[in-house]
Amino acid sequence: MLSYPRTDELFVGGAPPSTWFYAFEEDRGAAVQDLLLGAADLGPYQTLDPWAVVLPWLQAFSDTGLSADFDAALTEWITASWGKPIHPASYGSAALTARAWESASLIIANFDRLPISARTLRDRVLEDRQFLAFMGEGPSRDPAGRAWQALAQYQEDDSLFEEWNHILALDPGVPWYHGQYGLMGADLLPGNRGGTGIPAPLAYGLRRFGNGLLRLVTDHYLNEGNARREFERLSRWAQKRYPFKNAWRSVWRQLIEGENNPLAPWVFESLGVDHGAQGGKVEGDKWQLPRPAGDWFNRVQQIRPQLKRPTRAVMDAANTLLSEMETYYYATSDSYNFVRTACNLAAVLPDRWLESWIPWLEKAARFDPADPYPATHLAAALVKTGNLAKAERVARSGVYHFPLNVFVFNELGQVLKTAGKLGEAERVFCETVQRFPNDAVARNGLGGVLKTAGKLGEAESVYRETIQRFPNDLFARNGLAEVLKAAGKLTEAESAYRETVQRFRNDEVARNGLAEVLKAAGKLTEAESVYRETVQRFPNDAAARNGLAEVLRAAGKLTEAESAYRETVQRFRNDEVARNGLAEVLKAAGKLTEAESVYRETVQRFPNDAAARNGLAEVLRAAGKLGEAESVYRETVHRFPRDRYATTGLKSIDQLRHSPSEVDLPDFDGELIPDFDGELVPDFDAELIPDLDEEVRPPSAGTVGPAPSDRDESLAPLEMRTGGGVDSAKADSESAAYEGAPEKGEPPALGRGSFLTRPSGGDLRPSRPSDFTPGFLRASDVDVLIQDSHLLRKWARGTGEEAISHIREEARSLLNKLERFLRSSPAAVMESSLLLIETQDIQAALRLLDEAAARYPASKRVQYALARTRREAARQASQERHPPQFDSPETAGIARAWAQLAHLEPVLLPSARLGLVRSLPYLTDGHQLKKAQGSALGQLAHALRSLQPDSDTGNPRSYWAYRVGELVLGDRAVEIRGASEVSDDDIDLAWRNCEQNLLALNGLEEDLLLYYRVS
Amino acid sequence: MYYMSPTPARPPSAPIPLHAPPDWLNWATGGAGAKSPNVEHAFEVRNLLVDESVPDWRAVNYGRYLTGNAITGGIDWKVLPDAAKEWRGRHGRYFEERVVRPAPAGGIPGRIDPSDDTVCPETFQQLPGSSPFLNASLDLDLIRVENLVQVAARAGYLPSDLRDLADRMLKGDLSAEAGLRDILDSFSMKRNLRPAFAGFYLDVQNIFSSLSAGWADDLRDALGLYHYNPRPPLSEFTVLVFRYPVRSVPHFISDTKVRPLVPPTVLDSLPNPAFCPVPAGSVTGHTVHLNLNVPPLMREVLHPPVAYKPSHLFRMGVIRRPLQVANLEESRRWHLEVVRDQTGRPDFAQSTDP
Repeated sequence: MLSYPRTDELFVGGAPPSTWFYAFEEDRGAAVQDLLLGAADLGPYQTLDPWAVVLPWLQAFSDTGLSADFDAALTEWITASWGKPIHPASYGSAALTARAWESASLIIANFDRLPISARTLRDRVLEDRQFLAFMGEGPSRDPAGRAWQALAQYQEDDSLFEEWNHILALDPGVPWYHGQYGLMGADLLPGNRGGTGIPAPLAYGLRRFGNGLLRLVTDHYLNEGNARREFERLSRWAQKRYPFKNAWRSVWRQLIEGENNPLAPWVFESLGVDHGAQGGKVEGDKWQLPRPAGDWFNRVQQIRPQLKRPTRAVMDAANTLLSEMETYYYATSDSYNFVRTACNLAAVLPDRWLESWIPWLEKAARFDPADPYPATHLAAALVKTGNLAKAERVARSGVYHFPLNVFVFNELGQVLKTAGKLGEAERVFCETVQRFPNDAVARNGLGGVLKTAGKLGEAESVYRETIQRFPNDLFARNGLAEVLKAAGKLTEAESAYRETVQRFRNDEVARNGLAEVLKAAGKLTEAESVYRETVQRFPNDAAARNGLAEVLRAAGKLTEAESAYRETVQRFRNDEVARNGLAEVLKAAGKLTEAESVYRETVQRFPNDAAARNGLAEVLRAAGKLGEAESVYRETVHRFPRDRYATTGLKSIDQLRHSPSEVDLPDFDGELIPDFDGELVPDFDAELIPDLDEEVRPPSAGTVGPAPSDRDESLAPLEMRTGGGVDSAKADSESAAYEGAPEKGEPPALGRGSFLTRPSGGDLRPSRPSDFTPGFLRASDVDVLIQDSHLLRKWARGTGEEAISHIREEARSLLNKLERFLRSSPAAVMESSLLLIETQDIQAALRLLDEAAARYPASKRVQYALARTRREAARQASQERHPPQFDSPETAGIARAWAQLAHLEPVLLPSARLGLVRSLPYLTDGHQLKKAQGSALGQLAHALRSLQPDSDTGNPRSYWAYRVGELVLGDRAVEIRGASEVSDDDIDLAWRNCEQNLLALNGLEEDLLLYYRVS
Repeated sequence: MYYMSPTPARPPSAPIPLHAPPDWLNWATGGAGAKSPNVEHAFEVRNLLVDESVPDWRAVNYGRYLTGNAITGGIDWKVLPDAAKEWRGRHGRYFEERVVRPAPAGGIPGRIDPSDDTVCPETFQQLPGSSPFLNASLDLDLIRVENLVQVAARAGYLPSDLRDLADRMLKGDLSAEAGLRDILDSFSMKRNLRPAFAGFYLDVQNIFSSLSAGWADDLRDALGLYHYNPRPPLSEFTVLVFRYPVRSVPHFISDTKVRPLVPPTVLDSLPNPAFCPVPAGSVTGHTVHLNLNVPPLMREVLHPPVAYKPSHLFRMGVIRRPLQVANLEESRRWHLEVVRDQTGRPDFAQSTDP
């Protein structure tokens, strides 16, 4: 039922301008669809875009109810059409579908009485950001951009705040020409409505956008002239919105600090003032932006060391600080302080306090999704708190979204290792070593996994190679010694430890390792001596203390051992090893009741300590309490089905009772031992700690004394890790985070809130840490499948035939699962086609892609997959000795496909150049081919050089260029600047290298797509 | 006359009917197509039947869109409940996929590669060297009319801002230049590469010389811009008139001195009731004058879009005079009479417009 008057009543005394009005009266849904898809009869206006036709009509009849009916019809259309890349009524045209979506969004953006459509569009966009994005082909066919423009106009609350921030930051996946829509969104946040003057989110957003553009210029992604023009245009746009000349000057004086800020010339040009205006007095400005509190730096400095052994008060102070920073972030969109502090403090928190910190880390990952740093901290924290499943999800997502960051790879390897998935962990570390050959952490990670998996020979070899490359790498040296010890090569191990101790006199791990080896070799006196010296040097080293006690026990000095353990337990109340050791000694001394009591307390504190449980059962058994012992064993078996000690213990009880029946393992019915109650743990006694600034290692877990290797490099606080440019870069930037920020004065009291001035802007309230999922983790089913598939393909590289066969099996299973997403997700198409290549079914991949190319003509992923699959087809033909002719139509398709990729997304130009260079050698015939090869290679070399290749992983794009150059051109990479410098020898060399590094180059080609998160 | 060409020995035929499916042709020539009482629709269809200037290869492509394919399925034009709608949709698809090319992220490129169909519309591909305007003087001025509200909306600005800046600029206020440039830059970045229809300033300069109150209506009529038709509920259109030299048009990649200026065909826009083809061999297209003011015929060309500069803004005006369908009918009849007479092709379009 229409709510607006009938057409004839609307046009009393005349005819409507088009029969579309009658069509709308008859069936509004069909009429709107026909309008959007260009099938409606529009009379004189047939040549116009749909939005251009209907907007004046809606505006003219805005008081008749036409808009309400149109709103309802448009809502129906959005709901019914979402997720269909080729609209069923679009005559099979993806381009027409894209135009329809662009028109729909433009209509919503330019007419303010379509609230239901706007809400529906918003829900759909936030649910699936890729759907409109993959239709986009630049700013002139940009349904996603126009949708953001529409959403900007219809904001009912400030929940899109972070979306605008990500757009304005030009985070990966955001086209630079969306900046205007991001600014519109930041400007029209309802929170700005109460304020007067220039909204802070707009001012900060403009700066964010300018910095984003500058980054793209530095990356050679965007021409400086275009970037500058766009910034100045939008700066003037903002000035037009808020025509307060002096206020803008004041704003920029505050936002641009330092004469050399590269944004300054752009800003002052857009303001129409000379650079002299920059030197004005900030305090003299009437219009003040919210500023970070001056005491933040001092407070971080003060809180950080205390968080190593936190109290409630310290935690409250830390939470208060983060809350203030969050408030500042919401007022300004500047997330830097919040993110750095959340990560910085997380790095020192003891494991059991991390749980409460995780929401801050999740927020940090959400506020700055383009930075792998908070995501990596989050994964590490989740591991430490035992949430391995979530840690793995975060880490997997990190590897997928930051493919050129060595940090996230190492973190995933570590998570997998901790989760006991040693095979996968090994593959991840292998892949990481191959991608980042200069990263010592990855090599040590690999060594560690191999060691844990019992592949001692391989581990030894990895460690030795690492030491050769990085002679001062402490972790590799300790790792090697540890492996030697595990392999029973005690003399070599002793020698390795001794050398390490000599090089690194203050390394506790090496000292403890040495003592451990001496003990294992039966040199108990020497071992005792080393331990005693270590304890003396490092009174807070629980491992050394436990080691000493262990040696004393082994030497039969039970009283001394008991005393040593007791002291350790007193100092480190949560040290399971010391507690178990103490109980063990008591048991050995025949003090069964005391031993039982210690074990029971340990089990209560650490319900997941299988060693304590087994110890308790043993004591009970020894005391003849068979029923209780059985009950404890049963529960242990129930909790830890793979625990052999418990199983054997349970069987032994059975045997003791001469019971012939099988042990019924799964059906545990004993009384549950209560879980650990945190409230029972007494607060930390500060007096016991001699030096608060001394870094305290997390308590090690284990049952047989402190193993030096328990200190895993990857688990060390992130800023402490060695190797990899990113680590050091992060550490640098972390310290730089507060440079110049603190102001001298009275030291702040802990927990004291700072004053944030908010002269204008909204009433956004900072929320307390909550279970809010970071944006990059909002993974749908298809995202998870794609990530799994992607990682599966990565890990398939370089594995043996048996593993390959298994992986292919998994690939087929994934293919089946992906199939249902092929009609709605170009990412699924790309992944499926690459999986098909992996399973050698290239023809099937081509069929899939030919169909998909019509469905997703603007998808960069589909285009890449198409180009790559065509290359694979040529490669296959070449291997079968009938290489395609260079000039044939089919080979023209290969070159066109790579060219189209660069056309669709210029930032992928280096990938496209690489793809073409790797394609041509599979073709045959003549002079023209050779010429084309030389030209393609020259263009690739030129593209690589423009990215300023660097072996440091600090700049992912630059590192990418370095690796590609190294793998394709070897030493010649630094010499070739263009086609004129390419010789026939170079072409042959590149060809050989490309074949030799086939899998690595495949990975690199894909990496840029993932790095830029193209649709 | 500059637009005359020798009379061909045998009347050429329009290529689209030759390559279109017979069922479609049957529909197009019948009472629901070219003979429809809906005159606007009828004219749109007639143009397809009589346009002799469409290159054969383009007619083949267009025919495919009328035939359907393996994915969309074949089309049985006989049984379609609304064949007119189907045709409009399919024409729209052809236009969107073959003529409307998305612009690169940097906006309208300064040069055009006719062999690159990712950015070059069919309109400018495979142009014969004899195409009449390829060697047009670079100093000749072209005229194009844009809807102010649409320019502002596409650029992401308020129409009032654009109106104000344009007004100040035209009054010589140079402080408006930067703001106006911003809007025009944004518009250039966000518009696609569909060919732009333009007239020659020389042909319409008289309209501007008097600057009577109705000059915008007169210009609309002269250029045949039927879509600027202020029928209720609309009462007016504010338009910007841009005047720019041929040298501002993007040049061919192979020759910086040659601009792709071509006579329009029926395939170069969405269905346009006010378009009328010319006989094969004509050196130029002609606008249908909407006020029966013939002769002389106004020349009409297509070129790749121009990135407007503030200096290109020539006039701002308001179109207020509504047009009736009867105007259009009469205009087309007169227009064809003149064209037949001046080209020596009395047979031209007789099958559709006797």
